[in-house]
Amino acid sequence: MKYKAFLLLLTIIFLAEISAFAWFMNTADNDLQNSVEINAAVQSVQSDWDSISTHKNSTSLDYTVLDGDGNVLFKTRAELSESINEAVINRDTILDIEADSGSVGKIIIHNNSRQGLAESRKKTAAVIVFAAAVQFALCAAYSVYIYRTVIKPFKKLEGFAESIAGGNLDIPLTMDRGNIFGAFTESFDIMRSELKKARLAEARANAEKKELVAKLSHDIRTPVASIKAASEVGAAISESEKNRQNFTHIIHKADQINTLVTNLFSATLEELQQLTVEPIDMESGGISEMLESADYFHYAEIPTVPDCLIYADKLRLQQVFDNIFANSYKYANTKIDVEILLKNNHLSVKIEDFGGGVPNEEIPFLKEKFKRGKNSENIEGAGLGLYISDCFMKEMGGELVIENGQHGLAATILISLSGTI
Amino acid sequence: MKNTLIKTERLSKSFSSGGAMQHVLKNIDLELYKGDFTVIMGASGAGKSTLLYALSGMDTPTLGKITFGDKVITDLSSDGLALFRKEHCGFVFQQIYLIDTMSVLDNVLAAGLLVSKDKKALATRARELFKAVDIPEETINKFPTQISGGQAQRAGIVRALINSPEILFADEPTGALNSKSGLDVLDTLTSFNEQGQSVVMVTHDMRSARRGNRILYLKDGIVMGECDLGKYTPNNEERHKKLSEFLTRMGW
Repeated sequence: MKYKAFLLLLTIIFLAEISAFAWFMNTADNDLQNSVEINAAVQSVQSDWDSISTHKNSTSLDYTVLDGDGNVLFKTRAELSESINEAVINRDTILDIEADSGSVGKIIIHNNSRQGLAESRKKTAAVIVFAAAVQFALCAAYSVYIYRTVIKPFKKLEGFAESIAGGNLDIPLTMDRGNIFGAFTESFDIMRSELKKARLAEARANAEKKELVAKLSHDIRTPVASIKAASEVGAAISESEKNRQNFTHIIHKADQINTLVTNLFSATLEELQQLTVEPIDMESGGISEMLESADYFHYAEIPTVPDCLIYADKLRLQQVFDNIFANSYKYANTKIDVEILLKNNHLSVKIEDFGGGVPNEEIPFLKEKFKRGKNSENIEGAGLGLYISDCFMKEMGGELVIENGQHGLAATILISLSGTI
Repeated sequence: MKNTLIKTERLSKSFSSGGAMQHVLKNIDLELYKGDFTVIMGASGAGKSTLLYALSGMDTPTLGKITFGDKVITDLSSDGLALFRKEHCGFVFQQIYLIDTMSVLDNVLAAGLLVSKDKKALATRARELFKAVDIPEETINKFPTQISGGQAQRAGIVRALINSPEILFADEPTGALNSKSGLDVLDTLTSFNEQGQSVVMVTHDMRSARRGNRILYLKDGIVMGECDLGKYTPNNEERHKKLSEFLTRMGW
């Protein structure tokens, strides 16, 4: 059932109701007493007065004829008024029967309007009930139609939208094309399948990227490991100090390449949100060892670490220290100051070199991905070390602050104390 | 201005459980004051008793520093700690640990003789304390098995106070007593506190906690919050209301 058909049907019903009303009004008029007939009745009674007992009613009216004394001379049927009093009560029409000598009697024309009124009421009620029934049936039918074509599909659409929002792209949206939402929902389902395709393609691309980087990392690390091993042998058997220093230099460079490859691999994983940081409560004592391990050139003197419980991921914290020291070696290559103290809810580890720092305007960008300072032009690196370190520290509830210190670039690693997060 | 009696700095206590470290107290910075009735509350396993034992020198913390007066007790050897405990601390436990083969008075005197050799002076002090905790003269010569639980715990308090410790540590002192005896013990502690005795009590009972003027709430090894009830009189309805609100806020 379409909207136009519904309107047409409603109009037809309205017209039918108007017609019924007009007919009803007309019928009501017909019920009124006809003066022509009354005249005819009076005339016929007057003409038959002398032989009133043989008088015959030639009209459709009912009446009673009384003589001058009020006696009933004639009745068209029983149950009619038989006196002036009864006639007055029934609102009958009372007329004189005239003869030459004047009024000889009365004719009482029966008033049947009560009966007519009752019939009219019945007719009115019937018309109203019929009209209401038709309209109710129509509205009920239209409600069912609206529920089936609008509300039900809409509810279905709601469930569909929820599963899409929840990331479930596998459930299709089936809908009748002839439905009012047909075209609309079809577009929706096309969107779903396109989104699914895009997501699968992205997952595939990410997996391929990860695989490629993992493969490259491995491919790079293998020859680097050989170079390192050969250099270590070279350093061990070398007779001159200069050669030994050269071999040691090669070993450190090999280590740097390994760190860079690790960073590159980590960055890819971080993008895929697979890089996990799992901080736990641990004793602060382990930090000395970590710093000593990161400072393989022994440029720094590691101070005593205040006793406390820290909240950190040991592996990731080691990576952060490794990155900071590796940066210092690369860009400053000077001695390094390390200061460790308790500050509010953090254990602060400040690592500062003596390289003079970087221009102040570069400071805000150093922790961004692939951003490097101007002093890095001839130095290898991907611009990922500080970015990854910053991500790690945030995940541990701490912070990495990079600033220009008194002598050079200062990295302050703020490690959360247990129980403060 | 209150005088600090005990101060902790980043007090931490860890236990090794099945190879994994369990950190029961985490970096607790706390000051306890002279004359206070400090109550330590918290759910089971929150570290209440561990904190009490660390504060009292009965156990050594894994990390951090505890200063008692002007002495750093975390620097003391185990012998040094034992001496420190004898001279400065009194202890009341849930289990009373009176020696059954000695009279109640001798139990108290034995504790006193660890510190002082003046037996006469000790006996005089013991009698004063027994009077204060409402234990009659004829009872003090009975054996621990012959007296009620409430009397035994009050005798335990006398034993804890015989050496006039600077602080009294109580770990669930009413935990093993019935309601009436528990109230007597709490009244005794309140009364000594009113005379200036510093008290630190661990409890998980709200009725006991109301006696304190300072309530500390421990959760997962940290002091989650504290509530000062000092300005209300002991039986004030407001005191109870404020404590209830505080505990509700702490997730009690």
